[in-house]
Amino acid sequence: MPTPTRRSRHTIVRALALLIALAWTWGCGPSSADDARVAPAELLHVDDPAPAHVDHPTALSSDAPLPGASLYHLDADWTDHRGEALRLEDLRGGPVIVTMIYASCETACPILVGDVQRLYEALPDAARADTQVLVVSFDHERDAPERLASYVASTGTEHPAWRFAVGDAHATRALAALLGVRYRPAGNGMFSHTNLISVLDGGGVVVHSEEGLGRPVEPAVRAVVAAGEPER
Amino acid sequence: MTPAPRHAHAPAATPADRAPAGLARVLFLLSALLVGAAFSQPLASVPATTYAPFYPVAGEGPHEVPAFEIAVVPVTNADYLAFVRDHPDWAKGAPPEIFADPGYLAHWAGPTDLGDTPADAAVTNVSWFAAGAYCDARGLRLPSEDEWEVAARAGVDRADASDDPVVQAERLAAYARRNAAPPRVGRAAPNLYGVHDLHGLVWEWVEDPWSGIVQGDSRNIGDRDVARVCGGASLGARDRDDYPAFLRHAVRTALGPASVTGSVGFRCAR
Repeated sequence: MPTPTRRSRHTIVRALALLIALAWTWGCGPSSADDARVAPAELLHVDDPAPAHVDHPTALSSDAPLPGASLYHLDADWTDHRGEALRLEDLRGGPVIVTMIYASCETACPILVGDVQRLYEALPDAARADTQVLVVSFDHERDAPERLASYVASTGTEHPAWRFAVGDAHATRALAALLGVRYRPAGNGMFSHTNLISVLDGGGVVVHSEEGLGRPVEPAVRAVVAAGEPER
Repeated sequence: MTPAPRHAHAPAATPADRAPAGLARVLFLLSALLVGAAFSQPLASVPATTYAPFYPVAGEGPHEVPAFEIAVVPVTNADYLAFVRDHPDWAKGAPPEIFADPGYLAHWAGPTDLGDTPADAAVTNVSWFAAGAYCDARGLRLPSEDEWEVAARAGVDRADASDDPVVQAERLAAYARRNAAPPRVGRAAPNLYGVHDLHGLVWEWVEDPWSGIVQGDSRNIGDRDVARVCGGASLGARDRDDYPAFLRHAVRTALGPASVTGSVGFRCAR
């Protein structure tokens, strides 16, 4: 049993703990992880044809260097629901709408995919023609490409510009971390997870994120349209 | 090469604590002899166990944690320097900002120059991506959050000391003392498994730092990730008196994958 001395020490320690915790959580605003997602303004436009090649092994060879904040630096192999190999940089060029789900998800994910559909359909025709959709599973152990194909069929989301993809554990975690998606298995094949829709510009930089379900699509529509403009 | 960790008994160690610590030291030296040639840091073995998540989601039970090995000390500046010499794409100033914020290795004088930084201090100012790349290059990986917490809840003489208010007070005091001196590794007494410095030196990256606090699957329209917002999270915690664990989770959830700070380092596992 704690002695009275220990108890008072414990009280001091509690106060100390609160102070440290406050210092570390930086108030009640968005976390630094959220801040990290916001790309510096100078990187939102990738229209300057800089001659220098980025000498970095994670940057794939390309005519122009990737912006430093580009998700396309992520050097990982994915497979889509058509069984085709995919690297994120394959999506380079136009805006990309990204979300993360898992196929056995019965509650939030159908709404989230419905939100992406709503957003996609709300785009002006010209913007929609240039826009791709990437839906990545964080249930990499169970969501094999065939399973994702069934999911696509059952949800009526087959579309040439849409890809449902799955990768390995580390790549999945890295992509989720960069997007700001938090997930964890909750038993019985279920996951707890963030509901997030992100918009990437043509260089793979996150230019917009929307957290929640059933959100208005207008801000994301504006982000997609703006993201497409510098590439035109 | 990592300097051989020096061992010192914590001032608070009682005679009863010393015998197991001595045993742990023997095991540590033995494991250092066995694996020291292959890895810059010896690994300690932790047997299979269960771990009750600190922020359980509704209906979530204890996690099974299979046996694993974890480095007995954090990665040092010297270790990390050897890594960047072999992998110049991870040298100071080299990685794109998506992988490391601009403060990456800010305490070093140059790409391969430690400057005044002690070689045997835990390396800090490294991002989650950088830490993962280091462990990968060594044939290792970052410990999962569950593994790290299992290793860290051990006291000097038992597998779980997190219900001991004296131990918890010492851990909090250690967190508060951080940054007062260079985080030289291996100077504090090892725990039951022979692992040093889990509480005394730096916060440490884990493979899944963002999975600790996650809301349940919900279809409430307009739902936000409220559990991450300040006090909201403490309401769902397993043990509201476990302040050291609360602090660790608060730190982890505040970091992004490219974040670098002078008080976050890492160690590898397998």
